[in-house]
Amino acid sequence: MKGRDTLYARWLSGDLSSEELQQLKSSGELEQLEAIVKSMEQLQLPNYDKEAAFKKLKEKRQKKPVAKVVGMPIRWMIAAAASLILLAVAWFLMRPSPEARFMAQNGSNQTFDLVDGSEVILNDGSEIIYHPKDWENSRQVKLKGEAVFDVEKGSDFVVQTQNGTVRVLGTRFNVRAWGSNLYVECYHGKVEVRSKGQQTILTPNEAINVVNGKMQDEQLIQHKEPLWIAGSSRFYKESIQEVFAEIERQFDVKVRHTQKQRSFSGSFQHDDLEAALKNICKPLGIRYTILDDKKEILIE
Amino acid sequence: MSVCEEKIYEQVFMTESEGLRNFLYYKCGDMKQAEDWVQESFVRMWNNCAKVPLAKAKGFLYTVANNLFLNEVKHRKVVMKFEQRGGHTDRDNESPQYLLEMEEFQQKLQTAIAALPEKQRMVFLMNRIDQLKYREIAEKLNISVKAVEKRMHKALAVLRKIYHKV
Repeated sequence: MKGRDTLYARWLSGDLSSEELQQLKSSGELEQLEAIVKSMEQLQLPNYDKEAAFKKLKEKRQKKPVAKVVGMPIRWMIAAAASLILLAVAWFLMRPSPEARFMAQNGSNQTFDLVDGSEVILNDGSEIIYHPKDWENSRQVKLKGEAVFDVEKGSDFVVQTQNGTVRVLGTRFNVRAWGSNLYVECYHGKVEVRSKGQQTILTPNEAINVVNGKMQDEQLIQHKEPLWIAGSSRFYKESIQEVFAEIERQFDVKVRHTQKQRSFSGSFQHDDLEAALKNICKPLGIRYTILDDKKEILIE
Repeated sequence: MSVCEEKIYEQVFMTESEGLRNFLYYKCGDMKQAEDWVQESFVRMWNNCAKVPLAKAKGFLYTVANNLFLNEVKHRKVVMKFEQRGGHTDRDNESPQYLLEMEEFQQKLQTAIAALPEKQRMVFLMNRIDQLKYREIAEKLNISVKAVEKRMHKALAVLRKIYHKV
């Protein structure tokens, strides 16, 4: 059965089982929802005059700036031009380059195109910052969290994280940088990973994990896409804190726990909170409770 | 077939501009701003028409429009204003008391919609006002259908609570 977290949405699109519908009815929720929907039916936005808007658009499209020179003594003109150029150069050198910030909220991942057509898919709760204006000179993004990159051919592409940097030419790779951990998988091309004086070069199907500043041995991977794209997370000897942090991001919940020293190897799917908790807690022999509002989880 | 051809360009405008306007309005709550950004998005598509295949036109427009919104630094508090749909006949048969309550409820509803988190508001209004299916919304927002359903559910969960207070 599908989750409670999409219940009302599925009611609207007529995708509820008769059981679910009955429950909605008897709890009184149905009456409230129907009132909202009925009220919404009365609302509309102001008319949009497409013809007029298109006419306006055509005018705007054809407007080109026309340079005009009014008679001015040539010396003045040279002086004015020179100072203008100086000003422009000074402005150009000193201007702060505006940064662009992309985020994926907890509970959903997001795809973004960078200016050169390189693609970034952000995993839940992750964030990147880059400078679109400087992109031609230096392709650099700052990453907090996890993302997969599909990089167009060109100059070096650099992903900075708090735990190290990843530098590539055109390729496809995934970077996970939560907490003190840095994990990189390479799918195409070559990727260079540096962290605290250590460095390695990954070729396709290789992955590297940096735990607390120490680079581990390279691992071989089978998949051609990070698993989270297909809706699951897999860990290998990962600290339990990081695993619960991933639960929080994927399901947009709060996990309260006192587990510290343990580590977890295994995976979970992103569409079923209960099953995910079972996968993690059962092998470790710990118990969990999901509170009624489904927003909080207590771990024994 | 290319958006550089006037006819096709116009066709894209006629089919996409209104949805794009509403999309921007739900984001910023400022109709004039939304309409300006629609113009700007289409100007940019014209200037880059050689690089935009027809199949990508829609995606291009929504990406540009979204960037225009993101680049606007100060985001004012969003206010949502809708119009009453004309010509509903049952209105004449209702008691003044009922109509008054109805109006009050709609006021509350509009305030509550404006206060929704942007992502929930987008999905809710694209579905309820623009009558888009979840799949169509998912395409436009570049997210999964499941994510659309989650946002829709959250929006309804917030809004249904105002019903008590009538």
